[in-house]
Amino acid sequence: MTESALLEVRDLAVAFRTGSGEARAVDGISFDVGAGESLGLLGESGCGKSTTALSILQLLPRGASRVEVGSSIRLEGEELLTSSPARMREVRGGEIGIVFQEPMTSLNPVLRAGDQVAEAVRAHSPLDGARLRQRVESLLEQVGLTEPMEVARAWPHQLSGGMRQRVMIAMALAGEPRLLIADEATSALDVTVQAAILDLLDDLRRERGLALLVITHDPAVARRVTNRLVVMYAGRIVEEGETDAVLDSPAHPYTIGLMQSIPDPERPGTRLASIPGTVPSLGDWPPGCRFHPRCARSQARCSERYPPMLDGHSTRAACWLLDESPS
Amino acid sequence: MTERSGIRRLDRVLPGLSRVYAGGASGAIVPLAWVSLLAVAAWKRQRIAQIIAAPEADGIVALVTMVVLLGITWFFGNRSSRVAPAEGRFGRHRGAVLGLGLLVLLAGAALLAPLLAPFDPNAIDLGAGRLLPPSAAHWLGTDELGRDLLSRTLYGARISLLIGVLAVAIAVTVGTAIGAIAGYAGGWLDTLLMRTVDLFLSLPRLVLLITAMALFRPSLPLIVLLLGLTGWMGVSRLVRGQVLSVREREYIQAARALGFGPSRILGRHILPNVATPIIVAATLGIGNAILAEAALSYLGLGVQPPIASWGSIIQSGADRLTDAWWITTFPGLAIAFTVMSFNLVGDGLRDSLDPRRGE
Amino acid sequence: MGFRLQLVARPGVTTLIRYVGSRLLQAIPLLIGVVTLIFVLLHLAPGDPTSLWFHPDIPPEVMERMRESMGLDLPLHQQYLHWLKSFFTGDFGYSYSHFRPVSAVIGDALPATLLLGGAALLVAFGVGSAVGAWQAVRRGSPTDSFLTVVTLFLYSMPGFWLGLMLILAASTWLAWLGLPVSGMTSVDHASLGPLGRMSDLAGHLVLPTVALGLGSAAGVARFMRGEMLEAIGQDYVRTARAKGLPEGVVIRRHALRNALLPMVSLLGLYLPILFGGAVVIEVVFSWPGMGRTMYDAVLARDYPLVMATSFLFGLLVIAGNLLADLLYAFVDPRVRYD
Repeated sequence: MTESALLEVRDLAVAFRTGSGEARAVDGISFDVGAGESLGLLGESGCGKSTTALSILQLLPRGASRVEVGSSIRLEGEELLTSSPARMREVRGGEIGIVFQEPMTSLNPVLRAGDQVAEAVRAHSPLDGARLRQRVESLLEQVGLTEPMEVARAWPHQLSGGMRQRVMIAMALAGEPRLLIADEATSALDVTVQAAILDLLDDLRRERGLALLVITHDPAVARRVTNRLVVMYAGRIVEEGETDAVLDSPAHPYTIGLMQSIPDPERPGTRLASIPGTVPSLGDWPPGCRFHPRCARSQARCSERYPPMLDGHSTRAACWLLDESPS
Repeated sequence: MTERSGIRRLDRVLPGLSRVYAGGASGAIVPLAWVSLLAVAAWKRQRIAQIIAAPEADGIVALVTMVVLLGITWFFGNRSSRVAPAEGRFGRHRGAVLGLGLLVLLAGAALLAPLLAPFDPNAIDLGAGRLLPPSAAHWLGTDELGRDLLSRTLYGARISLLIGVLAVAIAVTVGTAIGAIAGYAGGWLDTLLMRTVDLFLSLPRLVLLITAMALFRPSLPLIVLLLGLTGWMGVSRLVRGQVLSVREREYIQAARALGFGPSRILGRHILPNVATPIIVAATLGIGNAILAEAALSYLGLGVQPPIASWGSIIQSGADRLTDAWWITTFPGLAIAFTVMSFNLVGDGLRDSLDPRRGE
Repeated sequence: MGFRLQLVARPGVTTLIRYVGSRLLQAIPLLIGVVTLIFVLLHLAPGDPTSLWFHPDIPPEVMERMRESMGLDLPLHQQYLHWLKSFFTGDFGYSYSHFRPVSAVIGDALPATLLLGGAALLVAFGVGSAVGAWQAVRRGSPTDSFLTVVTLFLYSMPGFWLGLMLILAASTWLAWLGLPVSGMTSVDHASLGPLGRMSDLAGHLVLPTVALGLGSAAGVARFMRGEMLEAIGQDYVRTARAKGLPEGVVIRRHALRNALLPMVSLLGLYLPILFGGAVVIEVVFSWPGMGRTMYDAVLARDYPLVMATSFLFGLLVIAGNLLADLLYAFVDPRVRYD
């Protein structure tokens, strides 16, 4: 909660229309992204992390979902949820860029890559003709494409997954945003390509102070590019803190389970533990702490009241185990 | 609780009548059938008495139809109203239920034409009865031979539906056979048959029909046959695709290993899988066949006089558009609403099979 | 780290020509099939084909020449070869109802049909795609529901009946519009100036075009609505919004462009429907095209002309499909030329 927070999300709740009424995919989450900071949002699929990303830019499918009253998303103090559509268009790409997971389907198949980047440039600046072409070329160069003119001329289907994702990043950078949201941006890529893209994101942050909001299900990705980490489970934040602290000495049983379920390169051969049970589906969330049915250390009050965020050893977590007061 | 048992008591009077309260448009079909059938019986009681007193072929057919329809309604009214999920999706598809309701009414009207028709459709009145505009006596007016257009349109429904249904039956049979042969045989035979499909798709159906009608003498069986032989291509592609995808699946291998012949595999494994898309194609195909028949009859190359067909009624009024608009207008509307009903039902069936396309 | 670019070059002129060539070659068996089908029909018809040619108005020597020109005195397989040859050389024989070679009759009628068919195609796909796209953008609105009902009705309606209703309207309460309801030109057409002739022709074209094109337009609209809805839900449309593009640009440049691609393949489906419909519509409006010619030939039992017109309708559809395929390859960058 620093003074310089670029993006402040407070009590964000998003409801989806389901077969039987409405269900909250995101249920009252709060976090900050400081200028030049890299925040990770870690969680399994269905925990609401992508919904969070889309609701920041108001890109959720219309009609099927709505952001509930009482939520707040502020960009440098400016409330985005009540902004006019025209202002939101300026924010999209101009202040906050976003890169999606699916590099195969996120580019328009019938427009050349360069035209799609040019379109993003033109949405936020009046460049034209040769200067526009130069700008597109330099953007493609900045994202590590060594032959930018050829890529610009190519159709999306002629590019590899990594190249497409670089084009996506170039598009997201075209309006010179201060915050870049990477929504599982590397999940669909090969490991080596993934590493290259993550390095690119990290370079962008270091070199030009671009703040990052990295949404991922992969702790390794989070460790590589984020300073701070927020762990989500079933639409709620369960733990937050410095990335290394969260990953190395987690306090919440869910985070602990998550870390135990990934192989440790330093201790090969150790048996992997997995969390028993499955993630509850949307709208089918248990009362109290949403993790308690799967938690080996759950107590009576876990099924009754949702725990507040409490200070742990080096992180903050929403778990009654950290509560020292008698219940 | 009491209200519900009160409603339930309706079922003791006529099975299924209470469904009108159950909500859901599909629940309305049984009550709708009861009301319309009984209304017809009450309204036409004199005609019924007349038929019983002096039996004639047409009238007996209508009476038997009436009894059969009442029996069918009774049967469906007594059946449990629980529906399968796909049926449920169909039931929620308001347009599809409307289409089905319209088709039920239409089929009922066609079958009961001898009861419903106020006049003999071929009774000529060259005196004062010619070219009468719609009135209380002649709801849809009369044509230039003084024939009652409502009666002719009702009887025309029989011809159109008969031709549509029989033609599609032929088309489905031919299409299934060709698709199955192509899928099983593979190789050059498959190529040849599929090129034949392309061929039939690239000759406009109406052009082919007109050419054939020019060479042969138009007759009802010939029209049905030719409509069937020009409408099988879609079904054959469906069946072939299904044969190809199912052929290599394990249970077919197992069936083959057990020594079952292709015909048994076809009947047991392939047709059940492809039945619903075929029904969709058939439903839409009936609409198309009715349109093609109407066009042929309008050109005078279809159903021949004195049989009343919607297309030929339109033709008989085409020369007198401005002074007797009703001759052309009403049969056209009848065609449009009939085809629309088939399209609604076909769309509903397709959507209930493929939720992605549903609304 | 350097990236190796392995870009597929846009096809050069030679690949394009080879592609067109291979598509043309594929069309030939279809054309042979059409000719064969007509041949089979002719020989299945009751009586010897020569008896079909009999007509009291024809002098015996003309009859003999016709029989010879169609090779009807030859054995069946030679007749077939002769038949094939005559169709591919464009020698369709002699029309005794017009007292002219069939090719001359068709030469007069073909432009009228192409004009009507082309105009109807424009209406069908222009109006249809526009309406369908518009509905998809306003999905669920009262206008969308209303248009869904209207397009369903138009799609289910017989085109020739719509034609008759249009004639009825144009000659009663819409008479003030002065729209011609019959033929392709007015009696004083020849005396008009070039502009006058054009507007005369355009006026005659209005009603037949609407009658022929509206039903197909409704079908196209129904299809387009679905395609557009699907396109609007695509990831790249979300990407376009995320760039900060105005909604109009998102819809037009991203959703619409992609939704229009499948329309090109739909073209192949609607060509036979449009040309088949043209036969009846030309009769309704006395339009002097191939359909009208064919119908008159059927009534006059002018078989060489019937055969030639039905062959030409097949040819038009096959050629149209070929053009649609080429167009598709041109507009969709993903199509590979193989």
